[in-house]
Amino acid sequence: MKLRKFIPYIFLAPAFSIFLIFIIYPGVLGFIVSMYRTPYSFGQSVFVGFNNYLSIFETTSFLDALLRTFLFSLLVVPTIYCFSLGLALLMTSPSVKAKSVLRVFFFLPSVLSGVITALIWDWMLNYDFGFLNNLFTVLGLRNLPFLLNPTYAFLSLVLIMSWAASGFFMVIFIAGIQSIPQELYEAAEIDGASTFEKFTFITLPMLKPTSILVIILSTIQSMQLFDIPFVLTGGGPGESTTFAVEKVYNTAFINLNMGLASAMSFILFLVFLTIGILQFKVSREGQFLA
Amino acid sequence: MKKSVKSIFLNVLTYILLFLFFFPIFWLVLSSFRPSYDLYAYPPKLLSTDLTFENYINAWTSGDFPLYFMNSAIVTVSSTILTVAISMMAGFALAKYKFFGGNVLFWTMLATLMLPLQVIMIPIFIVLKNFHMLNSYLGLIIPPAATPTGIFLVRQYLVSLPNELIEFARIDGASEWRIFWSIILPLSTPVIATLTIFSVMWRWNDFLWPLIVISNEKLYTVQLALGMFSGQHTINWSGLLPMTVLSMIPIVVVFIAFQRLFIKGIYAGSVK
Amino acid sequence: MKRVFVILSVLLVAVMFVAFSQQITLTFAYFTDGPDLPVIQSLIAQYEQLHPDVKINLLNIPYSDYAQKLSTMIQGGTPPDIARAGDIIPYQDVALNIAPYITSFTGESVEEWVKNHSGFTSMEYWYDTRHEVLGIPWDAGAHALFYNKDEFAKADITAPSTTPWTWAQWESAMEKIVNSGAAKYALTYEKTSYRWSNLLYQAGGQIWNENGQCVINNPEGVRALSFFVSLFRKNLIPESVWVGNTPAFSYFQNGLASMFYSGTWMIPELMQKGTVNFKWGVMPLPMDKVNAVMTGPKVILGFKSTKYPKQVAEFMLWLTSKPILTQWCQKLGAIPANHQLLQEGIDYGNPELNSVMQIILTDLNKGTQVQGNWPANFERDWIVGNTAVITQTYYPRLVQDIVNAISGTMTPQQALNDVASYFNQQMANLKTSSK
Repeated sequence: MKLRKFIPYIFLAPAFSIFLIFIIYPGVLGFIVSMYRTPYSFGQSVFVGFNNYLSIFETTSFLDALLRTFLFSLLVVPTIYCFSLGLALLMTSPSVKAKSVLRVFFFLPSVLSGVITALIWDWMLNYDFGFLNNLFTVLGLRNLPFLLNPTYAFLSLVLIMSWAASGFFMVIFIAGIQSIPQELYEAAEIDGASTFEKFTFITLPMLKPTSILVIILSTIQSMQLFDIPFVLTGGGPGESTTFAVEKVYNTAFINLNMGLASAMSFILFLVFLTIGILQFKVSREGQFLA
Repeated sequence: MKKSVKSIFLNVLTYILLFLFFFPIFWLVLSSFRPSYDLYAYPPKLLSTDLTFENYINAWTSGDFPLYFMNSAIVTVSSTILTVAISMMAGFALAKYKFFGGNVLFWTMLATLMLPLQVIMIPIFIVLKNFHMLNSYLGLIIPPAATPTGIFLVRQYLVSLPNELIEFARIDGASEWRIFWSIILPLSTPVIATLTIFSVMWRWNDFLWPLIVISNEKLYTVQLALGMFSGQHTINWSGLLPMTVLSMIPIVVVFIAFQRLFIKGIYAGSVK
Repeated sequence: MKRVFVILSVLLVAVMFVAFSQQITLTFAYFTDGPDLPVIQSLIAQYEQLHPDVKINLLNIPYSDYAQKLSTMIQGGTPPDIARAGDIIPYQDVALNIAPYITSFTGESVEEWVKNHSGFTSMEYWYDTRHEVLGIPWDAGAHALFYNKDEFAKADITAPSTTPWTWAQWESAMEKIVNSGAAKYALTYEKTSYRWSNLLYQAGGQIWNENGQCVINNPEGVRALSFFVSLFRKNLIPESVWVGNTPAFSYFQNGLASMFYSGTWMIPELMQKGTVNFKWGVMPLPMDKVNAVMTGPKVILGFKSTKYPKQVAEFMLWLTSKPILTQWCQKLGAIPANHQLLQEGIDYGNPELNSVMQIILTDLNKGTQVQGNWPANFERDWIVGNTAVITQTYYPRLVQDIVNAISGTMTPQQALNDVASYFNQQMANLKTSSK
């Protein structure tokens, strides 16, 4: 009985030791870097304590990007949730044929790299030669500045990210839906429940752990979004699509200020940790076995 | 009658969504057969007459792609096996035991997703160097195998399995390992299939990790090789597009092969 | 089973390779700049044939990740032996001084060699300030203005091949293109601060003055930006390239814009079959007050930490020696960053390329030989000293403010004031931190 106390640690050990060595330990070293001023060329660094953290807040530029990132997540996460759950429901519905082929097609956007995704959407959304605007011209409609107006560009990115990520989360939802015991639906049907009632009283509650997973993972993904806007909009127009991680990247590799970039990353790390734990607490999830 | 209306509605909805999701990809595939001057054609050409296989042939011969595909395959297969094994174990521990530090460990792991890897690349590089993992398959296989997403995925799946299953087994005197092996694993087919598909996709598409680890072209993976099509001022699209399309095929194959396992049938038999 | 066998045989071959060769391997970090990969590969093969004891491991890294990968290798304590770079500044403390090896390889004294070789003054600068040779200028790209001959014919314009060819003439040609319906836009212009700065210098402006103060917002600078913005206002340049991020070349490729402001690195690309399906040509850059064409040399450098400094230096010297550099430039339409070759001129061995390069080189020479402070300003702004460090590190601010002016959220004067105050502030920070 005493031994059982150690069992979970043993099960965790392989994965956790890899994290510890290859991510957490380098992360701690990175934290140390955040206390140094690193020079423009590869030379000696100078210890500056928490000055890098202070200088982040000297201008609003990083905070602005962080707020923009929040707003982006706030729009993207529900969109992804609806798309991926909707697709998963369709892709498990007995009424839809050829589901195993269709699932592949919906999954494919998640397989593409950021550079390719950006290229594809430039083809679709470009003001002059983009597919959509040419379609509008044929239909006699006005061309839209999808990527040239700050608001349009921001919203375009919300849709592009949803397009790129929904297939991935659809797969997670499909696995979740498939594991709901069929007996529950059968019992509900005997009681005369409608499709909608079955969805709200069986499917949704049974998918709660999966939903939490999808929401937390899509929050992280959207807060980390970087490569698609970097290529597609260059963070613009203005700074309308410059997100927090792009600031980190620019600081590290264009301004060559690794110390400041590390400090920014740790702020991001803490922000996420707070959001994630809040999401978890609000959902009151966790049913452990003693 | 009502049933068939609903069925038609769902099918129509599916195909509208399919069009929205798949059209851009269809465009990508079509473009990979286009001569470079037609990539940004104005007005866009839905069907161009001068589609050509030349891009594919030129791209395939521009580097040692059979070798890169082989490197990627070795790394992807080994790393995925490792990922599934350790994520199942860790996810099981986090879902079905209450233990001191459990939440802290869980959140530490999950929060590492939020560290931009680019920023801690140098410390990672130094650690890999000390473990003699630079320029080796091991360096590509072992460190990325532990993924917070994978562990989280497994944990959330196992949380919804009824605890009674485990309690009954304990009363019957089964060891914890036996519970994991004979009860949890067989019930986890859908999540194992999901994780396998994801892990194959992550490892196959991974760019940053190979970029850190590999400094020798003989060990290049497909994604590193794809990167070589982008130069300082231009991107060689007529090389990059065909190879991107080819590099998607293995993932599609794995997806098709493993998605059969989503369909359970296991659960129904076990809970009575 | 099969896989295990394959892995084992790969390992076996690797072990044998290490055991039976006395070769030394030099890792050469490289990024491509157009279709130059086959060219460098063939040059390396040539070198390996001449020196059977040396093997060059060419490490081709995507340009967008080059800085990252290289800085990781350097700070991780295992830099490559040799690297291609856009600039010496970031590597000044880790670069190998090859001065000791020059005389034995070339037979020239170091001073003589530096003078003969240095096509651009950056090498002289480092030699003068530190008595070291930290990397050798290799080749240079020069900015160039390409045009679509078919569309020019349609608009009934003859492209000038000689100067003076002024902004005013240029602008009226642009208007003619658009008004004649030959193309939707007249010009597509790459979105970089470097490309835009041609206009700055042509208007007689500069980024930094002699005292290390940012003066980009002086009337000349404002004139350059106002002119640029006016081209957008008149719909002569597509906004998608600057306000958006669409590659400028796409608008040239599909015929939507008749002129393309880019550089010599596009030449091998354009000469390749299938890149464009129209006839193209090149013309001198239009001038305002000054004839100015910016050039950017690339350098090849070695690292101090290498185990084989002599072999590294020899390879660098060989690669930039006159005959080899000539081969490189012929195949790529590149400009040699070598004083003597620039003076003598290169026969590009192909009449089409010769005529194109003729126009570009004439333009370039005119720019470097006349007119007041050019190109001294350019060097201070981009190549040498702390001023260059600031420009090269904080150029995104300049791009961003140009875009602000184009999209109308700032006037050209406000945009450049913002750049100037930002650059000056960074300069002040740099001075306090280096104290």
